[in-house]
Amino acid sequence: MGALTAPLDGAFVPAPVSGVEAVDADGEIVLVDEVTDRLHLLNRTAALVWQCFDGEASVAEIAFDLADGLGVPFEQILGDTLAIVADLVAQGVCSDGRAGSPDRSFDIPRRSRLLDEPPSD
Amino acid sequence: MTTGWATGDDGLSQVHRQDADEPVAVRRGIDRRSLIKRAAAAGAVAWTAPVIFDSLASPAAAGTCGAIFRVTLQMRDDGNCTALDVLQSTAANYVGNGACNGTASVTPPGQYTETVTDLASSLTLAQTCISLGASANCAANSSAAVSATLVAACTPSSGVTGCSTPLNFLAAAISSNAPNTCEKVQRGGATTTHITGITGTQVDFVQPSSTHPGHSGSYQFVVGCSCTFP
Repeated sequence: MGALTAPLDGAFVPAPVSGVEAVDADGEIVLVDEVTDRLHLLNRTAALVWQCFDGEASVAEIAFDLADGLGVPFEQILGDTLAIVADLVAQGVCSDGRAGSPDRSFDIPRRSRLLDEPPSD
Repeated sequence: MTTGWATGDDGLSQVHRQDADEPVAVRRGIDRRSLIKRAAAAGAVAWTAPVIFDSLASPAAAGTCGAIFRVTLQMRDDGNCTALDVLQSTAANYVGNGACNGTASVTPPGQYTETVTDLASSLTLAQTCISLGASANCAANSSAAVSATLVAACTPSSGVTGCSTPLNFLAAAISSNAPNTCEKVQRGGATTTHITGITGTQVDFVQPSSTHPGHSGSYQFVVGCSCTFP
């Protein structure tokens, strides 16, 4: 699971980690983690938040824009956004963009091996 | 890394590989504020707490086995690893002399859904295809390291149908009294104090150093026959 490199507060800069595919289906999103072979189903609100992750904007900046665009109190959105970011970090699909995205490129499996022979260990 | 959106067959779904340095909104030609305003204008998002509905293993991670069997071996007073006694495993009492007594048996990792067959106590150790070496370390009151391996080209001679080689360890457990030890490990999961490693062909134990007689402990193994692995 993911590890925090800094306290998760409004200054946290959420960034999707490599090896995660976002499958958008009519507003909801399924995150497909190719490294862990896990699926994470996000509701519409979480899907919108996820799409705001660019590795540059902080949680507070994202929450401000969400509050402004949706007409919802900033404090409420900030709290909700911090909570979902914490969940996504715990699931290992989001990291702190200020620390750089963790390199998982060597961990991404080649799908064609799934039906091949079992490992030799 | 490959980027870009592709519309799915249903005309709705879109797939995109995320990169930390390639924001979705930017790549789609929409900045964050425009994305939010568009969602608000479309009425697509009435703010509710953002949540992860569910997290689950991908179907692509599923594995299968031709058969799966479970073996329970009782430790001996003399610790002879070549003469461990096969116990009858049951779901409610998989080791009669240890802290796991009365708890459920160790099970395979979740992606394996085949029925697990418990080998009968009438079998000999050799018939289980499991070897723990020739030393005298297999006693509960030992603190030695012990490794279990699978005998090459071996399948249980009775009790399991549809089992063919290769065999692979899928899970293991160790149990003893005083101190109470009841540890279970599945392949791919975290190891424990007394089960220090598990691969397809070897399980590494550290004996629990029980103050009870040397037979007051057991091992249990779940073995898959001709499995595919995610």
